[in-house]
Amino acid sequence: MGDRPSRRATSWSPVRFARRSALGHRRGQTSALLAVAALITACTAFAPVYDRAMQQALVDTLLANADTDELLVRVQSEATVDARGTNEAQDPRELQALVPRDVAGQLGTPVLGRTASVTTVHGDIPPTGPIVWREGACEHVRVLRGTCPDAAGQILVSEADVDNFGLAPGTPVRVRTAVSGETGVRLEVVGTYAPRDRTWWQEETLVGMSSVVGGTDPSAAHDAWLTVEETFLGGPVFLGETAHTAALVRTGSTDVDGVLALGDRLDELADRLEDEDGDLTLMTALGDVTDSVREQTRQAHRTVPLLVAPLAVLAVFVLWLVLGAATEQRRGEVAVARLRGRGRAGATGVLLLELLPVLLPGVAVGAVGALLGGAVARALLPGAEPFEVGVGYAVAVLLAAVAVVLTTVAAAVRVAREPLDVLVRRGRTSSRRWAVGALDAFLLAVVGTGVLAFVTGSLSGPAALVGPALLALLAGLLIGHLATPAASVSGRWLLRRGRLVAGLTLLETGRRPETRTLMAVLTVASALAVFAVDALVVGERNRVNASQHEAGAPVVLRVAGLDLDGVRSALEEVDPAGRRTTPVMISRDTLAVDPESFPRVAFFPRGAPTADEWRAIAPPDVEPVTLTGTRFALTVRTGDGAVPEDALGADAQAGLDLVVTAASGTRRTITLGTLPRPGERATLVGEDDACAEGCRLVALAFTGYGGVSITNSVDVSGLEVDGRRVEWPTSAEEWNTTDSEATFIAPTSGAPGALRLELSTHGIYPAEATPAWVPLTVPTLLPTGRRDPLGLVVSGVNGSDRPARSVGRVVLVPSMPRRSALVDLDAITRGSDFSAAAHVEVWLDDPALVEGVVASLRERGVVVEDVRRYETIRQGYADTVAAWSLALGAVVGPAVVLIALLVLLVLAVTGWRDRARDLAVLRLNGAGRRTTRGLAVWAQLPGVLLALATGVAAGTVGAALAMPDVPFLPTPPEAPVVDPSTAWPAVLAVAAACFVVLPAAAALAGVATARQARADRVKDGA
Amino acid sequence: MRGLAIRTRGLVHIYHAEGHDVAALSGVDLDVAAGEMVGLLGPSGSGKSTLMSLVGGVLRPSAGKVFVGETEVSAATPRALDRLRGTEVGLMLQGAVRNLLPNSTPADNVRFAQVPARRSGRAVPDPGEVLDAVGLGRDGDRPLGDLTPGALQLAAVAATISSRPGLLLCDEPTSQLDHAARDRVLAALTHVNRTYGTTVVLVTHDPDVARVLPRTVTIRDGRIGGEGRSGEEYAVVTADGFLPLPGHARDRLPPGTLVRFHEVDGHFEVRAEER
Repeated sequence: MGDRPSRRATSWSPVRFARRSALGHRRGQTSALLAVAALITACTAFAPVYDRAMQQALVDTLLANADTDELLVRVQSEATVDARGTNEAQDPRELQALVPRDVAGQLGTPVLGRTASVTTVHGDIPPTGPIVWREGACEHVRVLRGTCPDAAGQILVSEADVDNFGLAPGTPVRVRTAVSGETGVRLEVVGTYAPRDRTWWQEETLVGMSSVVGGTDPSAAHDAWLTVEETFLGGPVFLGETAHTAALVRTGSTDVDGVLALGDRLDELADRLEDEDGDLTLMTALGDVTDSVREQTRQAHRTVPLLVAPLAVLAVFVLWLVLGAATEQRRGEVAVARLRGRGRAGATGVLLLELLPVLLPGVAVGAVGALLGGAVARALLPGAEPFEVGVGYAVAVLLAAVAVVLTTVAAAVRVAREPLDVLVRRGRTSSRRWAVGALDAFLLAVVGTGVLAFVTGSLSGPAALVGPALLALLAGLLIGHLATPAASVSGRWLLRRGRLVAGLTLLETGRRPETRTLMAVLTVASALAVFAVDALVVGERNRVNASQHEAGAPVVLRVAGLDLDGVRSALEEVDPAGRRTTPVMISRDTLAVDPESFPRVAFFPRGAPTADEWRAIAPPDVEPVTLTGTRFALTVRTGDGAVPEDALGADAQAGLDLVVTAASGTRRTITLGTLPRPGERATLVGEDDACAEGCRLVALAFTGYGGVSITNSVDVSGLEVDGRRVEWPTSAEEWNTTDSEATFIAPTSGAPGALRLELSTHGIYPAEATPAWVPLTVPTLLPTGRRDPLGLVVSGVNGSDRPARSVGRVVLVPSMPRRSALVDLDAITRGSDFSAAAHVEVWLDDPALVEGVVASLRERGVVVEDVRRYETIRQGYADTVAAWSLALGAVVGPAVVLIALLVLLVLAVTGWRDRARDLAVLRLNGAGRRTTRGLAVWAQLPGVLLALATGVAAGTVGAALAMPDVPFLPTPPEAPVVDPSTAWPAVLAVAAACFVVLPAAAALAGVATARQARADRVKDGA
Repeated sequence: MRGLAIRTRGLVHIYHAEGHDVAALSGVDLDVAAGEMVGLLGPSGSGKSTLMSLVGGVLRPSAGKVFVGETEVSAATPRALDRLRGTEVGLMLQGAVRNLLPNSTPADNVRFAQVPARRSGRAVPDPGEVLDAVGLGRDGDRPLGDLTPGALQLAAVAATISSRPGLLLCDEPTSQLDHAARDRVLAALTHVNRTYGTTVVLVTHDPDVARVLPRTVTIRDGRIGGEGRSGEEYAVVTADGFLPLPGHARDRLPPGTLVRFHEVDGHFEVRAEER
């Protein structure tokens, strides 16, 4: 026997009561409650924490990748000279004073300066270039000769200027000013310099500009001349003279709010300066960074809640379920409280006293968990800024706590408000399983309306993103309500046919009050898991698509100039088989490629052309006519038609030219002479050295000064080069028919060895007859979405439009915009010269080849201007909020499965006694152990399997419907790179995981229950 | 606190079950004087527990009135009923654990039950004193799970009387107890009745228990079927003049039997007519 009760404790202690209950007697339930409260809080609080971490990473990435121009903040005052007089630029120190203290605090050390553009007044080609003063500049250059300027008019020049313009130290220079008519300002070179410390100079270009360009349009430029401030003061104003203060945004310690606030403050400052003085300008590109942060943050505010909110709602639902079980278990305590004179409020208080001390620590655990998750996320995301917690975190924790408390109060009130006679009654009240409750009906109506709007496309934008969750919820509610009566009917039917286990299993499924809830939860959980993982994988696929499309190939080298033959020669040396490199020409929206090597090197993320399509864009399989020599002769016989006329109808002369292309791609015209009069014959001769090393015949051109109309036939034959007869096509099939608005040239059969051309031309442009080697229309592969109702033309490599015909479609033309064309390089270049509208690129399938290719190109005088790498672009897309927010799917997917597991666990823990007793009754009535175990194992499986199948289907359908609205990329793509189709391998993997883990858990719970089905259970329940 | 009297008039209670209604009580008139100790007897389903629940304010009657002391329980507000149960009426359900906070001790249960009385400013005894009164003084701080069934029942008694109620209603307080435990529980209830003047009404099936009670009321078919006083069985004439036959007379006077009342020397003689 124990001791007498403590005399000190005369009053009831709620704390002792709560502690005993939570820690002494219901540890399992306490753990479940704590875990669910923690989960709810973690889900709710993690969203703003992760959002913040993403913003930090984004700011870090953007600032780290930003160039100096984007980080430079410059307040500039410009001197003006007009009819009213001269207005000098403001003092840089005054400009610095205009920068508010808080803004200046986030910028680096300002550099004050003055700049102007000066041109010398003497010399054959007077050089132009900047003259600059920067406060303290002498400490940031190496003075190579002479001394740093210390008086007005003294300048430092580069060694290149010494070489190009003879500006040795001691040389006087006179430069023009902004005011015409003045004699200029005298400067004196006091030394030479080389820049150092590019950061201090804020990446300003000082040298490398010094040059002299001769030819018909000669020009010269000098490097920056460094001087002292006094040079700008007191004298005449230089051309484009400005004063400024400039500083770079600090990137090391600037947080998200700091950057955004700085952007806003700079906008305000810009407006203020503009209002105060029209000559003042704030120059900064930081707005691009802040705009990007804001835009991507908006994206995150759509995607993160999309993934996390359903998880939190599901967790709240599970909390409701767990609390329902917990309060149900405490009916006895509620009854005692009511018997002892506590009212409903008092009984509710007793429940809350027991539950809240467990749940609120769970909230704290979840809050800490969210912080830890945020810290992990911050560590995984790029950037070095320490982890921050914003106000959103506190609000989210508070929201979670409120949700937990309200849910607990609701669950407690639900039991405590029951009439006392119901509370004290033994056993549970029967539930009306067939009836649809008012809450269910309301939920079904609301959710059904939402789903209808979602499926019919009425929901758009962010609202559409809740569609999958609504669809899953509707499916879960419906399947729960339909499956239970159906299971009961099926169970009875099976029992009548002697199928004991199957019949009882289905009857049990239909009879259990928790079946409907379980099915709804499992449906929603599996749907969310499918959706989250599908979104993750589809997002990854689309970022790869976008990266591949933007890059075109693993590495792309853009070369200067249009030496296609040189490029080809270089590539042949590095990659003789032509399997890993390919030359490409781009002319505006036309991508010209080599169909042999290009498919092996280029990315086609949304499907490559077929082999037939590649063959279809090939040019005509005709050999070109190669001419090598300098003297050309062609026999021409003009038909009996009309004499050529000029634009006024007077007789005119028409000429005949040979049009050829040289190996370099340049197109040349070789004039042969005037066509003989009608009915006459002549041999026309021309001389040109364009084909001294060989060229290709592109066309016969009929010309006339100021335009000429020809309606006649012309027989041409006997093409000779340097007196040698040339084999060339003379049959009609070997020449194209030219048919345009002003020209019709039809090749027909002439005398043997002669080509007859029926001409009907007018207008001022030469009329050309081209051999079949030159494609009349360019065979083209077009992007799927391109439509050309007015006729298809593509941009030729000479910059002019060329008629084209579509021979196939491809979703994306690598690296090209939505309206583009993919053509054969050979086809588009036949007979055409190259213009500045086009440029040449080299596409490589291996970054390791870059060095060799660059060297090989350099040997041939081809310079690489720019290198584009797939990996760089890929990383750029990876370091975006769109990618990071979808990465949550990797957390949400497993989390919802865990929640579903928790539900199964809770239901097993709260219901095992009743089930064990039922099984024990069966055992007493003769059922074998194997039978009862089978019944226990299968008790929940039909409902679980049906719910999972429904959930996977709902998740897949929901994903398919919602995915087009999910922002996968930081900005909407210009080309259709996004492929929102279902990622079936991922969906099947998630489905497999759900179908293995959850039924296994249900079966294990059944096995454990079956073990408890002993005879004494029957007695216990009596 | 003095005991509270009970008065019921025309008490009717009908349970509404699925598809049909069941009359549990069909006009019960019962008077229990303050400080009395009364046993309610009767077969299962006769309405004993229903009567207890109506008196304790757990159920509201379909018709009729219930008074506990001066309070008309049948018309009291829920708040008044809560106050009544918290201070003046102790209600003990059948099965000890249904009256106790499960994860606790007898002493804590006593303390818990005293809270309403303390809040209303009433003087309540020390929990140790209450436990001593029922003979559970040494087991007060032991977890309920460690107690014997008899001790559990005593703990339930202790919790029920903890605020010194004027009326103690006990439903089958001695069922499923061995004789020793039964006697300890009965002794505790008798102690409460005699020491504090508490009116005690208990439902029992146990004839041994009924035998020691000064007064028993038998409920039969939802009516007062008879009374026992000091070992003597009486039939009770109802307010509307019905006279339920005692059990042994029922066997001899089956339903439909015509009887005639004869007054002989100041006594009534009941004589069945031959058919």
